[in-house]
Amino acid sequence: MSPYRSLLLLLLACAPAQAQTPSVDPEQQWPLLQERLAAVDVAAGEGDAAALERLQARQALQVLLEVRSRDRAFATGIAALRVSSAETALKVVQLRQQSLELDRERDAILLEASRRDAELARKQAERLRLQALAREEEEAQLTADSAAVAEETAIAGAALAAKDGELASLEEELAALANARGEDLLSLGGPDKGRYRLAGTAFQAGKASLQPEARQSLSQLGKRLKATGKAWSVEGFTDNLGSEESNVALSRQRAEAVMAVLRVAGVPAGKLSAKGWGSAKPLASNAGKSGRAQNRRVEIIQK
Amino acid sequence: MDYRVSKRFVYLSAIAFFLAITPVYAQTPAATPAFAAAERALLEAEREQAAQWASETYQTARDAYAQALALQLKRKKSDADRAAQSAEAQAALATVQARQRKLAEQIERKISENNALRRNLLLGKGDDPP
Repeated sequence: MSPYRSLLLLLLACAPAQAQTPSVDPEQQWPLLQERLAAVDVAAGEGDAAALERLQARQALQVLLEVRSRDRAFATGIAALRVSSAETALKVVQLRQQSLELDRERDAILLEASRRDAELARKQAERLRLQALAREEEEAQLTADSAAVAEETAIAGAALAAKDGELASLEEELAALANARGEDLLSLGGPDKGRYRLAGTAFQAGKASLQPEARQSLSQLGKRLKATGKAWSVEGFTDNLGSEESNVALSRQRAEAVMAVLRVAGVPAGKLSAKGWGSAKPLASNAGKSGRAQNRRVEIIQK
Repeated sequence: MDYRVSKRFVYLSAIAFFLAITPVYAQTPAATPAFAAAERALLEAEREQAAQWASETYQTARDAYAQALALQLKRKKSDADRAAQSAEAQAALATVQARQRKLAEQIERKISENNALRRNLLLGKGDDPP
């Protein structure tokens, strides 16, 4: 076997496409190589892809047609290598295109990710803006509610003050009427507001029994005291005649008698307390009859 | 015996010596286009790292080149040129094979990277935060 034929066999064994060739006869190789090169040309199209390698392969095939028979095996080997180079070079071109497409795909992915990041950021900003808006509306509503409450409170306070005024004037009128009619129950105003005084004439002399008129007055007073919902202290006083021990006892009994009428009128027991002071805390001098009459009394005092 | 050598003998000897050695120098192998092309192709293959990426073809090219050199030294010019042509063609094939395999690996890596990017950037972050 000639060295050229050995080389051809080696080359054909190395070339992948050649390995598929059923025969290594140089005479049969030319059309196969020509067919492979034509396929490469078709795949390359009008462009200049693998132009150098295709040209070299064409030249090698042309040489193969022109060489003497003894050189044909060598020329066939060279042509096979050139065609394989052309095929591989065309694949290189196609792979480069694929690589560029992958680069573009990567850019597109990054662009899409950036767009989505921007969209997420925009949504987040919108969400925060809406939350801030909701907070502002809530604060505005609270402010409005507070203003309304303050206004209502002011109105209620004004109404209450008006009612207090009306009540005070009514009490003053009542006290004036009571005084004019010589009644025993006196509503005190001014610094003594919230304090009622029952004269000693409301009781039978030396006793703790209430006169019928005084009981009626106290019953009406009890309804008013109940309406206030406040606590009251009922305190009894006497003049200085007699022993102080008996005066304290009498003053306490009279206070308890008054407290009993108020309870019957509806004032809760827990809102009432009774105390007897005896001759202590006189309003006037006990030297005269008039002063002693003023000192005998029961006072109903708001706690 | 007269050992002196005549001038004519010396001249004739010198001429005979030069005539004898001149063909030897005249036949020293000179670089041919086929060898130059083979060497350029082998250098190009080395630049493409063909020894790593297309080792079998590259080694065949180097073997052919070595055979060409050996044939050249044996004064077999025609055979040496053919071996050099074969080395050039093998080296050219090794070059494009190396390019193809490097690109193929690069493409595999890019596909993998793109898939990872798509998974991490588009699928992983696509949901709205709670």
